[in-house]
Amino acid sequence: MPEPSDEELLGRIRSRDRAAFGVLLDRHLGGVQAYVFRMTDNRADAEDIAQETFLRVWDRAGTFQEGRVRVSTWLYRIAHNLCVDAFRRRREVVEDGLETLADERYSGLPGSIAEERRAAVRAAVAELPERQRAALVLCQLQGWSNRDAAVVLEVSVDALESLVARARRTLRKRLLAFREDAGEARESAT
Amino acid sequence: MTVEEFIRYLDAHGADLERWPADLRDAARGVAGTAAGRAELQAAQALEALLEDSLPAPPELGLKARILGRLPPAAGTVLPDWLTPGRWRPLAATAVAPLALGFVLGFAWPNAEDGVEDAVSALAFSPVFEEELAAEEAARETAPGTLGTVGNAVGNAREERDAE
Repeated sequence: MPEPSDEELLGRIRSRDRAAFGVLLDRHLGGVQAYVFRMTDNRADAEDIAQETFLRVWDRAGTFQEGRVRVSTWLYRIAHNLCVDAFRRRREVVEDGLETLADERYSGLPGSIAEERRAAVRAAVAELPERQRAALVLCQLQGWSNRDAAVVLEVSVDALESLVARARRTLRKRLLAFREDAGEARESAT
Repeated sequence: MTVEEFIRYLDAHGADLERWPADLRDAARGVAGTAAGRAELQAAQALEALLEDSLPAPPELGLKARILGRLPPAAGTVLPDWLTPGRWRPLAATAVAPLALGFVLGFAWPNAEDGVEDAVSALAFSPVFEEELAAEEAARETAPGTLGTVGNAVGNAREERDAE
């Protein structure tokens, strides 16, 4: 028996089918959580937003317009919009002087060189403008095609390619030293 | 495809040439075969390796169970059908309606009893009532039990008051 498509699962979720919802979770929870974690660089936020994303899918399954976008695209769009809301709230807190992003994220003791390198990469990614970061994460780390990522971010494919290209150029400049280390490490490993 | 164009496409499509648009792949492989192209491709691959190493997917750690636990209770699993609020709503409305009517009436005539008392008091101390009492006493003295005498007595009492 073939696996039900996401669209079929969503149809059953509209009828409050928990088993279908469980299958949709199995299929997409890991990806959504990874996307949100890579966007927020915060595990607790990633769990909260991933949870909220799927609870909204349960609540709003009836509003999904079949044929316009794929279920997975809709799901990631919900997650992305929740990330944007979280960034907005966080900016308000920072503007109020209650916390700083850098202190919150990178206050740990220095670790190994590899850890420092990872921290530097995460910091560089976190400093990208939100839309560039989202485009890069979707295309580079989540493996989405430029076309599908454009649908998630509600931009044209050309605009998406411009966003991801600017993100890569910025990171290439900022991570030049680390990139050479990684390149050498990769060559010696192969 | 020039090396500059190759670099621009690398930024837009990434270091995996298989994921590039089909119409660009052959030209891209050609540039990647040159020394300059190979260097750019390796630099792009190194950057992608850095990103993937630094931003791994986090473990789920029971998140699925937590999400399922947050769903509203399934219909029929908590209350039997005859105990659902919908079943009792008409009966509750029937029971509450007279109560609400009682409150409304009570507030609409808040001093009804006081009003009766006031009317009785006003009557008791009014001149007319005093005149009627005097007439009754007079009638009792002259011909007890006859109404016509009471009427005359009242008329006499009024005349006396007017004269004063």
